[in-house]
Amino acid sequence: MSLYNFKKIQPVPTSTDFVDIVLSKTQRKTPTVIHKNYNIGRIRQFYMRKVKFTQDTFDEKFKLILDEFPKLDDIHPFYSDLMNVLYDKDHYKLALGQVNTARHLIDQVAKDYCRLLKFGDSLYRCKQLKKAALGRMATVMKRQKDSLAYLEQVRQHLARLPSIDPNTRTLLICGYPNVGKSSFINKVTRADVDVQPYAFTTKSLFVGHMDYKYLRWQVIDTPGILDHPLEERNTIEMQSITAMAHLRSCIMYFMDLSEQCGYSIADQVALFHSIKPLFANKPTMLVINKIDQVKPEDLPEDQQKMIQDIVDQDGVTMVSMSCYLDENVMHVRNTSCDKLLAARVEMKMKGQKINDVINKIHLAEPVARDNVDRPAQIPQAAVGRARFDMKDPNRRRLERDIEAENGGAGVFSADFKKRYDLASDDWKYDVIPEFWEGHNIADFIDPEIEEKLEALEREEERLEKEGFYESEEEIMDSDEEDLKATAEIIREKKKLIVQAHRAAKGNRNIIPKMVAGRASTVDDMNDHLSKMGIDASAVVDRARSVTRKRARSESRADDAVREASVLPRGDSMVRDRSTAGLRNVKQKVEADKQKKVSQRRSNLFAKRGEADRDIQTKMPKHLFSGKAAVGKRDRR
Amino acid sequence: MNFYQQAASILDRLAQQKGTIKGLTLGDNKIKDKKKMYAVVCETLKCMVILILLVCTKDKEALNNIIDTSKILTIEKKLPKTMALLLIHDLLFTKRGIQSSDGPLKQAVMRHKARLKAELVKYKIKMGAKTNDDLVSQKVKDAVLIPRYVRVNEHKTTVDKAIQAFIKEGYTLEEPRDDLSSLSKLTVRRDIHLNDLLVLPPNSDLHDHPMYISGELILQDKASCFPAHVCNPAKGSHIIDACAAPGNKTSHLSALVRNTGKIFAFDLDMRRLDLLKRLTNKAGCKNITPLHGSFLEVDPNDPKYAQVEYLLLDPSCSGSGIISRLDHLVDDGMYRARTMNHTFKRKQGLNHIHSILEQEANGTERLDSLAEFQIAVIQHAMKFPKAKKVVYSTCSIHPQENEHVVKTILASNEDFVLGSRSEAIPTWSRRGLVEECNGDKDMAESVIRTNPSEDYTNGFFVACFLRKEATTETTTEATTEATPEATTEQKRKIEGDAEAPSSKKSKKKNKKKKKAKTNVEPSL
Amino acid sequence: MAVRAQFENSNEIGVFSLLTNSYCLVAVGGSENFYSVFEGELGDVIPVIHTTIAGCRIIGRLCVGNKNGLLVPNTTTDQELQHIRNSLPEKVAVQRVEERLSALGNVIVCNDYVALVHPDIDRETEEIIADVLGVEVFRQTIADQVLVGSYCSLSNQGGIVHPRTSIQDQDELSSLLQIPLVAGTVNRGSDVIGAGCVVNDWCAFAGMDTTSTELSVMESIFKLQDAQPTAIVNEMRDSLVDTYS
Repeated sequence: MSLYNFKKIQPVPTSTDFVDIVLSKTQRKTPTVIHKNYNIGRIRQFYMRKVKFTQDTFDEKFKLILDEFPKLDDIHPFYSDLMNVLYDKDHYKLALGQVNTARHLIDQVAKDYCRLLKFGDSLYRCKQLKKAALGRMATVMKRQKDSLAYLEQVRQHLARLPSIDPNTRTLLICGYPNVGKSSFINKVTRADVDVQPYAFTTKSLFVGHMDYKYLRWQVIDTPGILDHPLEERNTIEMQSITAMAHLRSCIMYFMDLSEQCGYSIADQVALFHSIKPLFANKPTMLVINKIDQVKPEDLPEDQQKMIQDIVDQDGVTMVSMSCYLDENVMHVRNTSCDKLLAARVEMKMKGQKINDVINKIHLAEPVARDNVDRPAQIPQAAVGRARFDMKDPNRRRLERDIEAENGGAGVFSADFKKRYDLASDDWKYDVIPEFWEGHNIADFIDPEIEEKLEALEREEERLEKEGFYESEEEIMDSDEEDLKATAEIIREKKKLIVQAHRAAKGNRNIIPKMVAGRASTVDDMNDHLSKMGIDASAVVDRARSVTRKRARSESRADDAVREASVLPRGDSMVRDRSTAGLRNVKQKVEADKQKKVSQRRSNLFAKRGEADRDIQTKMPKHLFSGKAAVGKRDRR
Repeated sequence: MNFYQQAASILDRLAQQKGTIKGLTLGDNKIKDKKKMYAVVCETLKCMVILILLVCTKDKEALNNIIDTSKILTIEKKLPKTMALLLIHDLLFTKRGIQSSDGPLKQAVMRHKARLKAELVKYKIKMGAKTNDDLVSQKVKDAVLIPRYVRVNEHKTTVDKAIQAFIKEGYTLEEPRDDLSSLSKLTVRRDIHLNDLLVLPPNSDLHDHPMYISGELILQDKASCFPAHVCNPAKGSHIIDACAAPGNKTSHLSALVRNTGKIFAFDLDMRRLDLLKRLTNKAGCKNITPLHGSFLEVDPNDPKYAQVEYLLLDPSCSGSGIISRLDHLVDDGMYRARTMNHTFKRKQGLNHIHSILEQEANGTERLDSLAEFQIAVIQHAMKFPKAKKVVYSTCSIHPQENEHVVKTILASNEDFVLGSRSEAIPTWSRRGLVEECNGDKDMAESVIRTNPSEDYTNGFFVACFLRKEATTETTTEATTEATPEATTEQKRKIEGDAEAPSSKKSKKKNKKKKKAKTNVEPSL
Repeated sequence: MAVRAQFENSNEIGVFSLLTNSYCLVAVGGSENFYSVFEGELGDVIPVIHTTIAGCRIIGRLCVGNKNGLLVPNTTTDQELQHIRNSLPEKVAVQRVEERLSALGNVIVCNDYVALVHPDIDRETEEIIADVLGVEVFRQTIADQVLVGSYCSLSNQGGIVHPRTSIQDQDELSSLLQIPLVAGTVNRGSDVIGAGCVVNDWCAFAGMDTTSTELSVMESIFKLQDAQPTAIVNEMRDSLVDTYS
């Protein structure tokens, strides 16, 4: 349906408005300040720009019109014919053609004057050229006055056309004026077509929609038509004819047997036969209206025969109803819809597309694969339960209602614990922490804890019953007391050992015995053995002799070398590195000599050594700044 | 679990053809509940094909065609295949489920319970089956419908006596009839075609029956009684039974000649020959000389066989007519299983499997090699100088092994002609297939066929060749043999019961030739 | 009865709710409108529960359940699980599933007897589904889509599958599920059926965009208010042909 939406066409301005719009846009959108003493190139460019811009704006506007107005060759034949009937195809095409020509003319004008502007030698001349260009454009536009006015009218009319989808399921109501066509559409759809007791109340097509069989149906009410040749038909009638000719629909030909409409039955039958060619290959219904007045059975023989002829000859279905009494109206509607649907389905079944659909209209029924019954599991409460109705005053109070009462969405927060299904309602709001002392509570949930506890209690009971806990008389004698005392001492000692061990251990690594042994001293051994009452001296001596350190020999210089060092040093534990690595006095002397030589350079620069990179202040401020009176001071 | 392990080992041994179902289940003293074991093994075999489909691993390529198998074996590496078959069978096809404590193997299967059940359901839908029973192949179901035929051993008793004994046990005697489809329980009747045969309802278990144990009754299918009757040897004549084991036909021959004359029974397999000796001893036959060796290697001109006039040939065949034996379950199940594995290797789909099964079962190649062997046996038999009647039988329904063989023999051997209909159980209505005999109606008339689905017996074929000059002679003999006097004569000749070991084994075929390796010998 | 609903301007209500025969889970939204649609229809029959799963509102795609049980993904927090347990009736088993395909609602679809699952789902999960939900489990695709939960909607009385499902597949699935099936759409032509609607044995909810044709197909196939699935091939056939092609 969006395919044929003519409501969106932009209004077409009149020619004067058109020129005003364009010129004001040029005025607004292009530079306005120019001086005659500007560079001539700049002046030319200034006016060329104005001409070009105006042309562009015209072009854009024309293009919009040309694009938006439907092209009669491209749209559905129904619409193109309808537009022909309503607006005259030639006129319409001519108008659009003229707009197109105007567009080209304006293009040409702009091109010519831009060329002339290139040779403009002064501001004045350029300005005149521009003026001439815009003037000619305006003249061209003035000539389009009529076609623009026409197009605007067409646009306004198009926008008011009912939006008819030519491809959907359509019921098309037609017949003589005043036979009850509009009454029917008012009955079956929500459309509100004016119904009056005179001919040609309906002067254009009207559309209504209805639902039937899960589908959406379009019902079109057409203006009444009279029985005369096509050439003599007026615009109103031609709309009906167009709809009948081009819409793939179910034609409902209405007849009024009571002849209250002012046309005899013979006329109505004759009309049917004359427009019959339009119904070819379309499901057609012959709807007898106003049966509250005359029923088809009550007619004279010859008239009955005329009607019967229609039914017999053309595969037409006859139905009768009375819109006035609301009799059979729905039946007529349903019969027509069914007939149209059947026809459409039959046509679609012949097409290629049906292969994609065939699997969707297949109902796969199971083949039994065992003898198991798989019934539906519908709770008793759900069987025969009335559907929830928002308007029912006694309806269930929903969470939504509670929400509305408590400040609405965003303010209210629902109570999720309300409906907990627990053994006791008191538990619902019990707070259970997620974590407790660093443990995830959920990890410690034991579903069988109750049973386990019960089992324990049962065992306890049993044991109690068996007298397991009934203590016997305690008899203590001295032996036992002694034993207990000793045991107490031992336990105490053990505790101390463990404590000492723990204290000693601290956080250190566990050292293997082999390694730990190396750390223990002879004194420790001595202490331990003495404490145990063993004379340890022999062992200690032996151990000492083995473990006594050798004197350092390799890494230490001879005593002689030490004595020969320049500075005699006290008995410091710090080793004199100046003598390290020197074999004898001679080497030492030589080394000292070399040291002095190597220090000469750094001494010269007042450095402490070669590593001394300190940069002293080069120009001390106090020495170089300030004015000094002559002979006042010998320094600055 | 122990029970299942035993069952699994039985299935394994069956697959390797190291014994028969009965031998392995009922004959093993270690097995506690033999009946249950037998039932479990049989039921599993019945469902073998389905189970294998469910259990087997599959190739990627095959995936599209094969029903989505559960891949249980690839996931549960420690689960042996046969064990998996057994456990899954019990899980899916029995009401009780897996009956054992919760072991690792059971757990391994139970882990896949949902998947296995789902695959079974999918397979059922694919096969259009409503219940699990519908899945079991028609062949297996037919087996149950065949009535139990009992041959009365005329060495030890007579038909009338046997019937009396049955009546004493509560059976009721019924009139012989054609339609054997719905036999009520505990009824017994004579067979309409063969005078020494009784018909009992299907599923009558006579293995513990005193008359069977004493050797008075021999459980033998009707069709396999035909050859001996067609052969119909004269008393005192010398007969050769090529491919004799397990000796049912041999003892039948012996009964027909009233222990006179001499019957040479050949078989290639020593074990099966022992079985033959046991069976014939039990049946009280005294004129049988069991000989170990191939019939084809026997010198026809050996003076030992100079007097041989009758030859009964029941060579290896495809066994396609057999439906009643349980052994076919092994062959069927295992064979299909093997084919299927083979096919999996070749990365073909299930759709092909059935066709391949058909092809390989009916496969011209296999049938050709069988027919070749069968023709060789007949040709060899016809070399015996005094041979005047050669009876050829198979338990196959393929014309390649039957009518075609007969045609070839008749074309290549001038000395022998086909015995007429009167020669070969004239009352039997189903004869050879005319279209397979090049439209030769006479030839078709002269041979016997049975159809497993309609004749209430296994599929069988019997043809009788007569030496040209001997034709008239034997015809007269044959007619006299079938008269009532013959029966009275038989009655007089009843012998005292001989001790016979009680072992009724359905046995396996000989490996006559490498090519005929998978053949089934249809002896009953 | 079939009802149209919308969750905060989204028509994919199957994403924000889960409906079974013994409970209904609804996402926590900005207002109570969505919740109240369910509450109005179901409130006095089965519990209608506000919940999140792993803090998300897309609960319909994250969890799956039926009358017997509820499976939630391993991302569900302990608090959420506790809330769900507290709210559900005693006989409904709740189970957290360690599954790689954690959008359980997308990869599993079930009624009270049968479940279809993504072909790559874990074997353990398969067993859990069978045990907790008490169903037969089938690995299956629908119209070559592995996300069976997204493209299909089931009750014990019928089911709608992806609109491109071939007739043969429909028949096979129908035999598997033992319910009548039809290929259809919701939300004016959307093929993600599972996301567009939620159903149980007596009630159905669909997105606001669902056309009356689609809604009546739903009512027929799910046998709501005594409608019969055969209506789809009888009375409604013409309407369907006319709308689809």
